[in-house]
Amino acid sequence: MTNVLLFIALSLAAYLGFVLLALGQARHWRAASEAAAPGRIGKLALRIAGGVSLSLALCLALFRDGPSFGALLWTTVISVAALVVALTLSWRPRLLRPLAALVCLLRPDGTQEKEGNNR
Amino acid sequence: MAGRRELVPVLVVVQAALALVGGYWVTVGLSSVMAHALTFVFGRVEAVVLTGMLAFGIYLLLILWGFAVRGVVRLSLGLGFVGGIGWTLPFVIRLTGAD
Amino acid sequence: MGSTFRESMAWLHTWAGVTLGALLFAIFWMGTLSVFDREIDRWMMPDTRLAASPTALSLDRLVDGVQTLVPADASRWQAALPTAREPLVQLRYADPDRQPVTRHLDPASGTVLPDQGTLAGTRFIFPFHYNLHLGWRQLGYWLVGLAAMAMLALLVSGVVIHRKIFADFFTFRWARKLPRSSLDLHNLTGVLGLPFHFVMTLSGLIIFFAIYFPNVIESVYREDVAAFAREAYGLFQREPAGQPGSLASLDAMAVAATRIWGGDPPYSVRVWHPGDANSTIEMRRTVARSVDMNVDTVHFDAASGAVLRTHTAPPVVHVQRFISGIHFIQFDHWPLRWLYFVLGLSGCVMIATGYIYWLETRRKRHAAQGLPGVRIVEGLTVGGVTGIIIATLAFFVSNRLLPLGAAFAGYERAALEVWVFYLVWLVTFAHAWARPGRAWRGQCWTIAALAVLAPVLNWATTGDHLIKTVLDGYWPVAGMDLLLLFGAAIAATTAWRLHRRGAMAAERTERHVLKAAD
Repeated sequence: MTNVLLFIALSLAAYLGFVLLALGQARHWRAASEAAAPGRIGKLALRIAGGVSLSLALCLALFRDGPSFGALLWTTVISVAALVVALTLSWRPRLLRPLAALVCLLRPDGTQEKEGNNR
Repeated sequence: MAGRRELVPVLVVVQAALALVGGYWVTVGLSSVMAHALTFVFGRVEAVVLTGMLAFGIYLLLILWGFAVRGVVRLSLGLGFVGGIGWTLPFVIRLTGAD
Repeated sequence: MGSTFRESMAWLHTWAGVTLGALLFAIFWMGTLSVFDREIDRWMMPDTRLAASPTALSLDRLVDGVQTLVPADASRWQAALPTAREPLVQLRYADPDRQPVTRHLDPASGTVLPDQGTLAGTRFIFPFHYNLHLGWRQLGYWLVGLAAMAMLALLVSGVVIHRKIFADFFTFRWARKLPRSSLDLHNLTGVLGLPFHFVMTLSGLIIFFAIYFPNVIESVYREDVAAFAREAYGLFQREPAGQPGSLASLDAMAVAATRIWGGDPPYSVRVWHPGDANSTIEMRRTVARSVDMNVDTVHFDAASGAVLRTHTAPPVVHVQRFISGIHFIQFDHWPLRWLYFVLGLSGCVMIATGYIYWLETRRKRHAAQGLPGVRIVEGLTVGGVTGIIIATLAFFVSNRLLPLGAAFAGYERAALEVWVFYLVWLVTFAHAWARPGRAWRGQCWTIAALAVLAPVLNWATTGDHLIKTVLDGYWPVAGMDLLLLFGAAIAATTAWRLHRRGAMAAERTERHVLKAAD
């Protein structure tokens, strides 16, 4: 059972990691949410958060299966997770709106992109 | 590109063939030398297997270079030079009795 | 080829892709199916659909069953022991005419299962993947090797020419016109699957380095090439004595081997010179528990059961075995197996969308200038993509339709199935070249039809319908049927979309014509 849960957890962490990385790109943020896209610092924060989530996925994979299987598992999971994120953004980007809203809530006002700059 | 016929000039095909075939023979020569050289660092079987794995990387680099280099002449010279080293070095080693 | 490095790489990418793409698709397709080759075996050989045996296998009892089959003067025979994915004993030996024979035994009862008369997944689909079944002077190996080197070059050149690799990392504009959407999908599957595609291709080559660079062995070992096999893989030979000898307990030897390997059981047993006084027993350690495909072997003296030699790979050889293991995926890890399957399919999509992009960006120009390129390559693409899928499905369908023991024109059942595969494949090429406009659509519908027919035939000929196999939890067959139906759905949807696209295009042309006539 723990193995199943660990696998689900690491897959979700990988998916979340790539979603955060994608939301750091203006085009994908705009597809997901009508809110103002993050500014420079916001983008950086999203990328760091994405990296942390992917690293968490790696740790979970190594913990679940040890060094060789774990590394192999992580590399394959992140490829598939990235593909799923791309398909989400392409077919159902609005599914990511709640997450974008959460990101908006978390950021301080100073990082918001100025209204006039929104294309 | 409009109006230009998509005929592939003979020289381009020659370069491609040379890059593929010549690159392979150069890799064969280089890998033989490398395997031999590595026996001074590793054991026999390990030198062979390590070289066997690295040989594909060498071939890939030669293919990419072979397709990018400008002109058949430069390709031939390059392959000839590197291949020459690879293929003659074992003979030189044997002749000088360094085995 | 180009005045800049990027231009040369674009040229290389296009030409290598167009000329070798169909071959690469075949290799990737068969490779992806090979991930589930043992499950395909269960589907294609119904008599082998056994449940895992509750009792441990007795090797000594097995020997009795083996000796009824193997000729008395055979130089060796080999048994692959039951595993989680293949709960049978697979026996290999040479018949009196020196032809290789494979038979299956039920591990619980020791009985020999009837000859299923098929090469199925492990002996047709899997070997096709690495040698195309072209044995003449190893031509198949060399073609696959060439394609693999081309794939490495394609991956590297693809990255070089991809201008916005990070900006377009997640981009898939599926609603746009075909050149844009197919290129997006090509880039997506290529870039996101890059680690998998590169590692699989390189590891595949590394597995066979002895075939592709035999000079490496010869340069160090000179004439004594057999010494390499001894030192690397633990090859051990003993000349037959010419005197009859006895056979000690194989079960005891298996226990001894397991102890030497710290608890890992053997996965295969080979008996050299059976019945001879100098007969040796070779046991190989399981490869299911770690990534690396170890070559740990123990050789026993058959008469006394004494250990003659143990072997384990030296460090660098161990690396080669690890890399091979990543490719062979013989280990027990179901999530990884499914991930490999999905990524393998993504590789197939990458190749197919590459072709589609090439075709759509040159279609108008070639038609206007009367160039044959698009016509030729489109036939190659359709036959190479949907064609090989149809041929594979025909292989499965013929397996269910041909009765056991069937023979025709001197060909046995297994060969007949293979004939069906190749003949159907040829027909798909002919169809693609003959009817270029509608080939994609027609072949997609054919895929859908065959992919539904196969599970239905499975039900009709074996009684194992989907509900039964799912409820019983017999996943090899249930999984195959489910994947077939899923594939049928995708093929049908694609065919329908193509039909709609064709109808809309025809409508647009009609409106243009009417407007012009006004």
